[in-house]
Amino acid sequence: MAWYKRMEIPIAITTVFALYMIFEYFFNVPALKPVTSSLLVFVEIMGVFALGLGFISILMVHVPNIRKKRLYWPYSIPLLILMFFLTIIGLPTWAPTPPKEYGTSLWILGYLHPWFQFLYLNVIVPADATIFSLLAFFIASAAYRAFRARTKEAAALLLAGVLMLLKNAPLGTAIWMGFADIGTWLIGIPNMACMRGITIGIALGTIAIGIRTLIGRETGYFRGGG
Amino acid sequence: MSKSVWERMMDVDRRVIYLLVFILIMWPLVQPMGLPVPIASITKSVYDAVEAVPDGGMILFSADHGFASIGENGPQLWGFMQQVFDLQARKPGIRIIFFGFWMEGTLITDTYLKNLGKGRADPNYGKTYANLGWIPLAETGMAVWAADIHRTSAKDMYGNDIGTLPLMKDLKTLKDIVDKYPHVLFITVESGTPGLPEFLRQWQEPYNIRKIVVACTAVSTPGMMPYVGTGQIIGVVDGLSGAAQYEVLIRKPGEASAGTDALSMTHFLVIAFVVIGNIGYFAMKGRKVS
Repeated sequence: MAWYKRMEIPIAITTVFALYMIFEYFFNVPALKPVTSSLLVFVEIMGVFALGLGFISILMVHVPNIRKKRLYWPYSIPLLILMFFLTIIGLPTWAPTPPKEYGTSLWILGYLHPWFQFLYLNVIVPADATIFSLLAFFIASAAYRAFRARTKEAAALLLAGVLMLLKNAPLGTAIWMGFADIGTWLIGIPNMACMRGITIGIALGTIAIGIRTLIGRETGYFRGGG
Repeated sequence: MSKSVWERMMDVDRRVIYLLVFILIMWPLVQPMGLPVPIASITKSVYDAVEAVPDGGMILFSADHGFASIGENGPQLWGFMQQVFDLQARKPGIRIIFFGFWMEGTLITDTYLKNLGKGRADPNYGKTYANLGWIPLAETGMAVWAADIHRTSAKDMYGNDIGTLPLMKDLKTLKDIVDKYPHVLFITVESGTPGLPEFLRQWQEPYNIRKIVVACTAVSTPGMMPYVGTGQIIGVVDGLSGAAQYEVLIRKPGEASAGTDALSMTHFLVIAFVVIGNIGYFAMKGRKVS
């Protein structure tokens, strides 16, 4: 295998930069600040390239979908049309001589352009919010089917769920203010204790993954799984 | 064989539930009930923290949510924006910087600024407040922005070089902001990742930003409570009901106040169906045992 294809190289790069960033985070060394800042900007630039990658990835999935007329292929057409359309009109272009009221620059196209604003206000926002709102219907149906007191644990979950519903609904607290106190206690004491446990567990897991990455045992982040 | 009443109670057609949810959402919107909205202590803490920003203080305002959650985050953002500009009118030394780590959030901020008569055409823009727009790359973006604002947000939302904005000219890093302004309040309206935990890691600890208030979707509130308990955040505006409470506190009833009646009705519908389902379940269980 050619030397530049060896796995040790990306592992070494990851380890060196990770150790540097950890050192810089925990030991506030002013002399290192400009280096860190440049590194972070570099990461940001690299990350923005991922947008282009996403664009290509969508093309690679949906163009063959249409050509081969796979299942649900007609949905790929509006997706691609809107992707190109929004990308083109979303790209900022500056007018060479902007009117005074706009200061030093004016976007001919870009996200402040009336076409983009029209699509954003009248298509994207309502469509996105509508999809999310459908959850209300599914949750109502799912809660009805799932909240059955089949066991003591399920009964406790059911009771806690109902009390939280009564706390969150102004009608519940209008009937009896005690629902607000009970709900606040539930979210502030037992919930907080559980969430602390989960948060600490996630932190420990993250540290473990970090250490495995540093010593080259975690290779899932390159070469499609290592 | 036809189903018994108990079986029917256990297995109501989901289309019936959907129809009732639809009716109970629409009815209070058409015919508001005007139910009283009790104020939770975690919401009041947020309101008090914003009101406590002194003349000469700085408010960092981040909209970190998408269009999907606009039903909950929209009224929260709108409530905060009305309050901070009212506050600035009373205390002219207050400065506000808007930005966001979710692209959609910054577009909504811009729309609300326009609704308030603010934005790029306002003569005070760039002097007393600025809108830096979207900062990409989530947690990494937070670290980059904090370390070098002018390189990360080279242009504001409207394409101006931020070095030309009097407010931003001398603010090159988050440390500059903290050093220049003795009182910095950070407001984040959010619905997921990146959100509060990332801000705590990248901003609160390294830059000692102690005054943080959060508005989030109701489903995220349980995850915020440990940070309230430790004092890392001052309070939480909890979903639509929190937004309605906030509207009561700022004395500007709006979308959230109208929506809470629908929230009440649908919550009670869910409770009613849960009770019906359980009656059916226990009746069937009793019959099987006998």
